[in-house]
Amino acid sequence: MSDHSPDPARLSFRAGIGGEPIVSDIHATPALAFEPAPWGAWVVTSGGHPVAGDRLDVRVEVGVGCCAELRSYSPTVARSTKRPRKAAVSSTRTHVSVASDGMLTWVLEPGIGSDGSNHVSDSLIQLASNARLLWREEFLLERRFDEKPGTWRSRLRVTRDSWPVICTDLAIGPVSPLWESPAVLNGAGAVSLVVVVDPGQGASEWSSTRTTVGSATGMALPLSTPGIQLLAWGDDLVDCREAVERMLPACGVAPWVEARWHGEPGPVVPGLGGEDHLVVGGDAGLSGSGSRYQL
Amino acid sequence: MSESLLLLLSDTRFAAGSSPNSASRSGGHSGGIEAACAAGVVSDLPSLKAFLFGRLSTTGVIGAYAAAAVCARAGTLPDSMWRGMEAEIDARMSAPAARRASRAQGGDVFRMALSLARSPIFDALGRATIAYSQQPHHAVALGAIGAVAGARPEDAATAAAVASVDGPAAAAQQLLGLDPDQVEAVQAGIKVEIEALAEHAAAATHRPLSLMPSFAAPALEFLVEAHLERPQRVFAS
Repeated sequence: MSDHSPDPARLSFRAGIGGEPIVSDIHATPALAFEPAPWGAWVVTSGGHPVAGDRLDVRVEVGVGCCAELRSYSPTVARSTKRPRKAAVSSTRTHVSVASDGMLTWVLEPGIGSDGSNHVSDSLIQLASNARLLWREEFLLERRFDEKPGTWRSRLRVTRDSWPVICTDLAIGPVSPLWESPAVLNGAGAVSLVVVVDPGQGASEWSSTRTTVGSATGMALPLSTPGIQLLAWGDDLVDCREAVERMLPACGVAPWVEARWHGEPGPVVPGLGGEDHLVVGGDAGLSGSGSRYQL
Repeated sequence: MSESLLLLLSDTRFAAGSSPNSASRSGGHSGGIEAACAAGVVSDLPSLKAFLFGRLSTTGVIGAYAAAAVCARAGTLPDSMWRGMEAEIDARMSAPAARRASRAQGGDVFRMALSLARSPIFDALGRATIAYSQQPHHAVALGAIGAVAGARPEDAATAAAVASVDGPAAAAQQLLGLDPDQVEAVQAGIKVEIEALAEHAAAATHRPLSLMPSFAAPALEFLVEAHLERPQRVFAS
């Protein structure tokens, strides 16, 4: 959208000899910066952003054959403002592209809607036809006793070779008229959404799964293209994340997904199946021990 | 669109309707209501009203926008755009059971339409779906029928939106033994929302398909998937 920041935070990776990510372009903004790591980069958000009226723009490119991960240290807290002339809504627009033979793991810490905030997270991920993706998006409402909750809306669209893979729009918080509907989220205070796209797997390898953990209800739903959505919602993000973790082994994802979920860093060369994935760098690869993906 | 065709498309006894005795080959469709009743999510009129509002605001919105877009553009759509519309709806229905139910209902309606009329629009839809061993999504079939019948996009949107709530309402009335007059009063209350939705959907037919609304209904999808494992079912979905 044209009303977003003309100066987005940018990060581009190209592949090293073995597919490891090499930063080819990096640009920080006052609200968001990247800290390169051997396996990709840490996303570092300012504690003061996003605040009502902010329009943050993030662009990430993963080059041909590159395997990159993005992680963050801490949650992103959306805040309201007392300034009367400020717009009530804050937004983050994230545009990600993953080129041919590339792989992206995006597991940022959750977004938190606090203090009457109204935040929209809008993510577009464009994948090449044989690119792989593990995308985790979590958001919850602040639960301080004397504070009214904010609203966090998450729109996610993933395309593969320009064809839609998943297009979903979820919101928690009082601004959303659907939040409390028994057909939608039933007033849940936390959501954990995971999308896996893996063209290396056949349709028969994915399976629907459902579970409940504490307050959380979870389900894994194979998509119409090679991929699966895992979604859990409830009062507590810990329960939601536990529900997703329980479903991961049961829904048929490849081993690299579970490894990435559990935070085993190190790029993996795509195109090699199952246990024959090759660790080519990063902490796990360099340590030379304990990785089930090493040849 | 002639009102009689709109009424026919929305009739729960018509193909793709909710009645187990409907003309549907795939069985009646409750839109998740049967599972919701079994789980206690819907047990009375207030909970039915909340559930129907959630259904209309998610799957109903997607169906209305898709039907209006197809109706407005059907005469000029190349085959690739028909595939694109089907893919956009697939991407907005994460639950495999929901996709199957939508395609089963679309197939029933499309089959009925083919028996009534021939049109290059139907031929194009057939090339984009049946040629790929698929049946069209319900909303796409409604939009195509609307275009062939000379309907306005808002009429096609209305038909899709009505289909998203009237069938489930009739199913709930049957399953819970609710007072039919009171269920109709609930439906009448939702009709105001449907009119506004159809107007918005018709006004957005020129926008790219990728910008169609994509409101998710996780609880509904959970119920639709759970329904398949029930040993005894009145409705197919």
